[in-house]
Amino acid sequence: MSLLEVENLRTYFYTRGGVIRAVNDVSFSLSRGETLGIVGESGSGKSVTCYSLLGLIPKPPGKIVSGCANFDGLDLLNCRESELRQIRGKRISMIFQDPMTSLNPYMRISDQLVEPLLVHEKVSRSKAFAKAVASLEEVGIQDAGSRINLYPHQFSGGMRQRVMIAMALISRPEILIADEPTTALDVTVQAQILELIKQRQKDLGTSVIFITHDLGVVASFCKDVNVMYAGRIVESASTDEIFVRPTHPYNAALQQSIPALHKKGELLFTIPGLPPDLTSEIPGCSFAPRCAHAIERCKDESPSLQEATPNHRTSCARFQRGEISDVRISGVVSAL
Amino acid sequence: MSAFLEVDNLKKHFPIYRGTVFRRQVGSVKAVDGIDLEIKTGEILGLVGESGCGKSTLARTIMQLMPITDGAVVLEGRDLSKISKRAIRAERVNFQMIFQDPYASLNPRMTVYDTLSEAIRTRQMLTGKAIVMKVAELMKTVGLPANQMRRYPHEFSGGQRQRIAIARALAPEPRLIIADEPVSALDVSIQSQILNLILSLCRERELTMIFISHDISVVKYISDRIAVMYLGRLVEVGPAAQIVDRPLHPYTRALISAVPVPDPRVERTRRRIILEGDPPSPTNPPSGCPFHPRCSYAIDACKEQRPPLEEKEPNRIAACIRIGEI
Repeated sequence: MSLLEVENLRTYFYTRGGVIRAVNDVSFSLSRGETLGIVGESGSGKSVTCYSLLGLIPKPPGKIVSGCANFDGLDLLNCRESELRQIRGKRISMIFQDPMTSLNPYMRISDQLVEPLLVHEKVSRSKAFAKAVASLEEVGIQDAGSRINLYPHQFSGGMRQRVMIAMALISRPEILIADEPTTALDVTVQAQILELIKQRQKDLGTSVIFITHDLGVVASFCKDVNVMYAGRIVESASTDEIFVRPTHPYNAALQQSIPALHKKGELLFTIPGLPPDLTSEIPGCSFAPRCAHAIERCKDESPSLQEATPNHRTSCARFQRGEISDVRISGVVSAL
Repeated sequence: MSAFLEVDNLKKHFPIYRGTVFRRQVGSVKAVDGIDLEIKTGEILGLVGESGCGKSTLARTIMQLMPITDGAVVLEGRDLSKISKRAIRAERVNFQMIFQDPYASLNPRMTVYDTLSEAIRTRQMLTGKAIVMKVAELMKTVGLPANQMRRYPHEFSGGQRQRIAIARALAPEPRLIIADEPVSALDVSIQSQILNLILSLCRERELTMIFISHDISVVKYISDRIAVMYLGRLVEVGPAAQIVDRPLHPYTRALISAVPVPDPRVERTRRRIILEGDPPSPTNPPSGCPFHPRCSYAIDACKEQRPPLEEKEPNRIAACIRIGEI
C-alpha cells in the first residue's frame, strides 16, 4: 500500500510573461520505507512538485490548478492550511539544497532544533533540549552538548547539512523530502551525507523523496526513479530498469551525455538544442524537437505516461507502440 | 625542449590582520603553498580538488590577476612574475581565462559584437568590415549564429553565454587558456555540448589548457594529465586515465571512490572510502602531511615531516611516504 499518492498534479505560475506550466500532469506514488528519486534538469519541475505537496508554493503567482495528493486519508493539495500545518515539519519534512540559507543565521542551533518539537509535540523546553542534543549526536556531530549553542556560521557546510538533517528528522517524519541536499557540498562530504541519510532512514523507516540532477547519486541511493522533463514525468521505473533498459529517449540521451568515471570514449554525446519554453503550450511531446527518434506524429500527439514493459512507465509514444525497441542513440553527433 | 608553462614553487599567502589602530599581521592563509608544475604545448591539464583547496587562487596567480608571494611563472621562457604590469597587459593576448559563471563574467551592457571586437583589437587593430567578419567567424567557431552578434548577454541562455565567453577567450588568439569550472553552472545536457566544444577547439588550435573543476568525471574526460590539489599543495600528478583507474595517494583514492557512478550495477560493486571530518582550514594547516588527520593509513612519521612530491612510478608523482607499503 502506498503512503503517498499524487495524481494529476498541475502547478502553474501566472507571470507577466505568460503562464508557466512548471508541473504539468504529474502522478506518482511512494510506498512506506522506500527511496524515490526525482531527476531532471533545472526548470524541469522537480522542486515545484515537492513544494506543491507541502503548500510551499507562493500564491500568487503560483497556483495548483488541478490534482490531488492522498497522504494517509488526507488530500494535501485541497486541505485547510491548519491541517497542513499539522503535517508539515512533523509527518513530512524537508531538507533544502543550501544549508547556509535555510538555517536562520540569527538563531542558535539549539533554538532552531527545539522549535519543531515545541510546536508539534507538547513537551517541556528542557525535554525538547535533551532530545535536540540526542538528535545532533545521531547525525554524527561530536560534542553535541556544547556545540548545540553555536550559531550556523560557526559550522562548516557539511556540518550545517547534518544539522538540517537532524532538524528534519527530530519529529520522526514518515516522509523526508530532500531537495538536492548534497549539490552544494564537496564529493567527499557528499559521500558522508548520503551515508548518513541512508543510515537514519534505516533506523527510522522513513520514506525519502530525493530530488537531484546527478544521475550518479540516483544510481547509488534510490530504489525507484522518476525522470522529469519540462514539467512532466517522462519515465518512471526502478533504478536498475532506468539505467539498464531506458525506454524514453530523453533518459537515454541524458545518460549518454555525461562523462562517467568508469567509461572511456572520445567525444561525448550531446542533446541538441535547449529545453522548451514552458510559457507556450506544447501540443505534442515536449522532447520531440531535440529527439533523435522523433517523427512528425510526435509533434502533434500529446504523450501520456503508460506502462510499456512490466513496472516500467514511459511517455514515449513510439516506444509504447513498439516502433522502437532501443531508445539509445548509436554513433556520436558532431561537436557543435 | 623546455616546457611551455612552468610554475616553480609558486606561493600565494593572504595576510590576516587584527586591530584597527595597532594593526598587525596575526597569520596568513596559505592558499597556494609551493606548487611546481610543467605543462607541454597542446596539453590539457586537469586540476581537481575540493572547495577551498586553492585551485582558483592558483589559476589567478598564473594569470597574473593577483601578485604572487613567492616563486615564478615562466611562460615560453619568460618569467611573468618579474615583468612590469604594462608588459603583462601586452603579454596577456597569449593567455586567457574562462570563468565559471557566464552570467557574471560578461558585461551586460555590451553586445556580443562589442565584447568580441574589443577582445580582437587587443591583438589586431581591425576596423569596419574586417572586424565584423572576424566576429562572425568567431561566433561560428563556437556554434552561435552570426546574425545574433548585436544581441546582449541576457538574450542568451546559460550554455550560449558560456559559448560567448569561450569566443572572447579565443579572440586574441591565445596559446594558453585557463578554464575555471567552465561547466559547473550548466545543466547536464548543456554541459556535454560545452565540453565537446572546448575539447575540439583545443585539438584544432593546439591550445594549451588548464582545466579546473571539482568534478573528476569531467576532468578525466577532457584532460591528458590530472593534478590533484589538497590544502594549497599538489598531492598527485599523472596521466588522467591512470589517476582515475589506479590512484596512488590516499586522498586521491578517497576522492575518486566518493564520486557516484551513474550505473547501479557498478555502484553495487564499489567500495566507498568515507573520509572523516571536513578539509582542515588553510589558516592553520596540520603539521607534516596536510592530509594525515583524515587519512586511514597515517602513521606517526606522517605527522612530523611534509612528504615530498616525488616520482613513484614512471610519469606519476605523488606526495605520500607510504605509497610503497599500502
